[in-house]
Amino acid sequence: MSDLREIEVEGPTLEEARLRAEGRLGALSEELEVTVLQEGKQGMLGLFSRPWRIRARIREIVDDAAAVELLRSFFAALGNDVAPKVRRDEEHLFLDIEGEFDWLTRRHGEAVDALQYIVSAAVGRRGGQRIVLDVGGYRAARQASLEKLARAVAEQVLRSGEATTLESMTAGERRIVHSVIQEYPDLTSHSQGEEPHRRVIVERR
Amino acid sequence: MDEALEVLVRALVKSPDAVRIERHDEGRRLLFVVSVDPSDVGRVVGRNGRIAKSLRAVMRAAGDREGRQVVVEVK
Repeated sequence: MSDLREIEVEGPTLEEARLRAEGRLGALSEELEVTVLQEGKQGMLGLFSRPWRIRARIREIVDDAAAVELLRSFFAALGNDVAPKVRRDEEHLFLDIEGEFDWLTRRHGEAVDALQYIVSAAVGRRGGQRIVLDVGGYRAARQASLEKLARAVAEQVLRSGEATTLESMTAGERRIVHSVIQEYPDLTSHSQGEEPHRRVIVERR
Repeated sequence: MDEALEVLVRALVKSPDAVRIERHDEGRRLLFVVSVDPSDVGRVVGRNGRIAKSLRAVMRAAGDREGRQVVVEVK
């Protein structure tokens, strides 16, 4: 297994270039993130042909075992046995901890976000999947309430025509609001202010 | 609570064996002074102090549960 993580290769076809990259990197095709640097051309009788050139990078897979172990040890030190559940999609590693952890989720989940940040810093890698920690279904519930809030604000702005500024939110929370507002063709939203006091503003286009 | 803080700090640094946590009980207030290998200070403080801030937030929450006011300092 090679230590190469990124490589540029050429091939007569895109498929051929990909196969070469997989071979050289010792990686599976689903692990590769491929950027086309030059589109190839077939040419005639080998004249005027141009190879495909691509850059292939191994996508970092975040170590879920290390993240789970860190969370277990942290909670165990506080006298709680937890078994974080792991789910993934292409961009996220979701870690869900079941149970009542009021002391972590109060204050708008400030401590859940903080713990998520620490776990990301400890086991995450640049270019890797984003770690999303949920405790006692807090984040799922917060998402539902933010979506509801965003819809109520959207309706109000559509009715009154006046821009509305929401309370300050974390980047993840703002993202939820922006994605709801995108469903309204007549509305637009943006964020304003400095962290941690950034707020979403919703207005008519 | 000392142990919980130690678990997090040890996971953040490259030299976990150099991690020391001093505990100062000051009545309701509980002060933790974290020291790490000099080359690891950045890993515990973070960009714009964000990791240190996160450690404080998590330990403050853990302290709330026991009615203690927890303060974390990184030396």
